[in-house]
Amino acid sequence: MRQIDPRMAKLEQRTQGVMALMVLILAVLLIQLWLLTIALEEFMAAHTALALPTFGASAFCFLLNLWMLRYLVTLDKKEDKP
Amino acid sequence: MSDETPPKWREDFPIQWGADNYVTRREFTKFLVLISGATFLGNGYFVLQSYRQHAEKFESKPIARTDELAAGQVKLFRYPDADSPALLIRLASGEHVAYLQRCTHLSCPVHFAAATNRLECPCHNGAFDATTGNVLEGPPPRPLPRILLRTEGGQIFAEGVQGA
Repeated sequence: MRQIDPRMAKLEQRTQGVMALMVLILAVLLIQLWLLTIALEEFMAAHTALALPTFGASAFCFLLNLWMLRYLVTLDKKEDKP
Repeated sequence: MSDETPPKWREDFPIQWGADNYVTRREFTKFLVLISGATFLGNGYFVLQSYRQHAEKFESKPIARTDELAAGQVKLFRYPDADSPALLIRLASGEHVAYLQRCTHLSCPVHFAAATNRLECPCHNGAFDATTGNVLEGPPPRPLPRILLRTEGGQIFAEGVQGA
């Protein structure tokens, strides 16, 4: 029976965590790009009603991304420890 | 081992692993968050621009006398600045309307066709309703910016621009 190295298993788990985080951040970023195109189209059409709501939604997405990035930084710090 | 000759494929792929421009998943993720911040700031720019548009003040400027134009006639003037050509039109109904002369498609000057009561753009055959400024046909994406008018003492004044 093959022995699983616990260190390798942990490393693999972390890699999967980073991958999942990256995909989530990318998905939120795509939503933000969509919001930006809405704001741009509204601006070009001389409408201003959606400028503030899209800004608010984009701020929420950015804060969400920052919050997810915090997890990554925490993970880096853990790995730096001997 | 050190005197071993490099394999043949190394000639086609001379880049060493260490010299490769290697971006880790973590670095890429951090870069994504940076882009996220830039996108957020981009949205902020549009909020600032919309506030600037609301805060813009237009001066009142006399542009014509009320009896100067007959029905179906047009007068060219410049408003709100010397670089903005505009049209004052007296419609068949006797009502005065004014629009910026630049087509909202690619800024070609529009002209008034009294027979059809339309403002037409000769560049790409765009057409606007002379009464409302709304797009009737062609590629213009939005209505013509309308100049707000006020009549006082037999004089027509331009008071502001709507939808610029």
